[in-house]
Amino acid sequence: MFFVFFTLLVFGGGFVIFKKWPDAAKKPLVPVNIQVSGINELAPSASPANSGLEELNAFLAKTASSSALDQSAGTPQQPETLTSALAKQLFNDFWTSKQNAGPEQISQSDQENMLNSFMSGVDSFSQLETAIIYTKADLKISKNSGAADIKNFGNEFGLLIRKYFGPLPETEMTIFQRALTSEDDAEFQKLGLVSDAYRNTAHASLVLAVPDNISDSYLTIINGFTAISQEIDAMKNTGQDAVRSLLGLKKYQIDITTTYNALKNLNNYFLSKGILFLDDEPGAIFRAYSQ
Amino acid sequence: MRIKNKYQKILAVLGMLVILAPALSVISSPKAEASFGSMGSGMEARGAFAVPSSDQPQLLKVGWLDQIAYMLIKAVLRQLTTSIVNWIKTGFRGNPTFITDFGGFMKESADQATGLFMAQVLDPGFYQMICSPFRMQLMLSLPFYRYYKPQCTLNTVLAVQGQSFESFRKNFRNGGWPAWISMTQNSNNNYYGAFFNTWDAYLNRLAAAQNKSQTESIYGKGFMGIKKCTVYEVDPMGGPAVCSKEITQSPGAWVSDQLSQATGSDLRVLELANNFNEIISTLISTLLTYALTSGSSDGILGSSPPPLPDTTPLRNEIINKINVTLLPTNLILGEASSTVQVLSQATSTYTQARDCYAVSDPALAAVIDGKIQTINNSDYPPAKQLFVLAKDLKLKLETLRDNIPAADSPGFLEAAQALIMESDTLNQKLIELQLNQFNVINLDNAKAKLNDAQTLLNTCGP
Repeated sequence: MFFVFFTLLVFGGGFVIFKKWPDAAKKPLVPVNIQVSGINELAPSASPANSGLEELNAFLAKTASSSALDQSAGTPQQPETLTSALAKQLFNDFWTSKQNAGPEQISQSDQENMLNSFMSGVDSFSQLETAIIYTKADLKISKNSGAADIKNFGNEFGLLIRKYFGPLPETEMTIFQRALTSEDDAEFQKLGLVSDAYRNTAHASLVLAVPDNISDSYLTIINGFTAISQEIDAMKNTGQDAVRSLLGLKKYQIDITTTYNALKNLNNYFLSKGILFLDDEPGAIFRAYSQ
Repeated sequence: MRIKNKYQKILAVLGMLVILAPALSVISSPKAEASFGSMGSGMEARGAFAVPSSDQPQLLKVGWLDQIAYMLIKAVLRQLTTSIVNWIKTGFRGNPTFITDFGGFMKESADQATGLFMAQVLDPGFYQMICSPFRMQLMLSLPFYRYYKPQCTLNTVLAVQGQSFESFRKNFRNGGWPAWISMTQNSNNNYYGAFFNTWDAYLNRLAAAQNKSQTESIYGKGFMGIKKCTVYEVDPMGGPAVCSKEITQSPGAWVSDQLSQATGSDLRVLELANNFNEIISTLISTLLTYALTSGSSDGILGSSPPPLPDTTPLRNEIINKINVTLLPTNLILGEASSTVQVLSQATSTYTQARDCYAVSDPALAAVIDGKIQTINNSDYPPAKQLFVLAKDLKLKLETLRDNIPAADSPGFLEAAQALIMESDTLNQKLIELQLNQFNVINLDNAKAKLNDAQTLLNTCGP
């Protein structure tokens, strides 16, 4: 008799408790899911509530609706980092595949789908996160193209670079590597000084009068500096969002190369005009950017 | 009937415990850990614009960038795993759903295998007693995943009772609970458990072999070792707890541990860990490649289509390939042409000699006539045929070579494939000609015949 009573008690209680589980699973934990164009293809299959894909979509939607430099924190309902959103998506895909595979190994195609889904998420974020792009309309273009004017521009631009980069004791990659080695967030924060230098240089460069002939290269340099500052900011937040930092490192390589080439073009232009900067002139900085 | 009721009660309680245990374990799960794992020290790195200090800006050196990317990837790995672990602890699909899904995950391995086991091994009456809502949970409680070599003890248990496995299969009472427990709690004491253990070992070995090089490269760089704090020291002054003991785990092991805690079962933990590590290894490789591969100048996304590859080297290669075939073709053609000419001269000279000896030495004239017939019937036709074939091949090769479209012309890549195939076909013909050449071409023999004919003509008196 006791066993019958105990069984009914346990079953009855269990029924009351677990009856709500399916409903709980159906409740979306993310309030509204804004589908970003191109993101839906990420889904290998229908996604249940609170799946990684849903959270990734929410994260990307938030990114899409934010300005490039808006670093404000997300709402509590949304994942705060790209890393966590992708991690959830990855594990959701893994779990789904594992359920399908049972005791077998996860199939090669499922593995590829998982990786493609992850990398698609990374690419989608890249497409949404764009740096500020200045245009020629933002520049102060000078019609004076005499040698003296060009040399004056070179010295003024060199002076700006010295002004903002001069106080920095070390370069971003030195800081970044040391920070990665020490895992010390204080070291990562030092990258902020460098990103400020790039950003401020770019901003201040907009007011310099640049000869029309070299305005294209000059614009590339300014946009390059702006993008690099954003990428260094992403590296600065490695401790919070490592995937975004990795994305920043990749973009950084591209932007560094582009900017470096633009600086070389600038130096070549000076040389083509017979302009040589002496060691004590600020424009001497450009001599380093030779072939 | 009495026994039936007893089993139902026991199984009902077991079922509820199995359901409740994971939920309890989730509540008491340990706290999340810090984001970073241990990282090795690297060489000194330089930045791109070391302008003020040295006036010598430098582009990133590949070696430094590799070093940085490796360390960053390790941080990525750590954070990904941490996020997953935290998610498992706090809200992956909602815990209840997750646990139900875990049962779904076990369907293949537990439901089918153990269900079949029960249906086939146990007494049919007993099997029917286990109502379906609890069967799954009961199965989940069977820790049949083991990772050691089979050690069969079922026979021992049965032997003590004077029973055999066959008799136990026919009737549960032949061995009873001791045999049943021995069979279900030791995976190696039932066919399916033993099968899965063996099969798992096989799959693990297979997977290990397939991914050996990749995994080794990842492990070799120390990526897969994530430090996990096992003991925290509480600060008596109320400060944050400090980790006093760490262990190193792979991401898969860490995630599987959390799954195990979340579900209250250690079923297939090792398999899950291996599967997850495999995915993570591949992902890390992909991310490294991604991080270290510079994109096009228009940005990381490659918004415009990538430029067409430079097809000039391919075009040059095809020309070279045709020339390689053309060279021996010309040699064969030259040899065949010379042979045909010499044989023609020999025939002509023999004819003069035969006519010369026709009156003075009719017998010799007949011998010479025989030589002429030999040349005309045996030597000349195949040489002439080889000459024609070689000439035809030469013409085709030269036509092919001279009509290769420009490298930058539309459709060059498609045309190139056809050209390469045609070139291969002609090369095959050349090989046939070369084989034929040794059989039908003998310039020395032809020259010897010409000398012989000349001698005969010279010795024929005026």
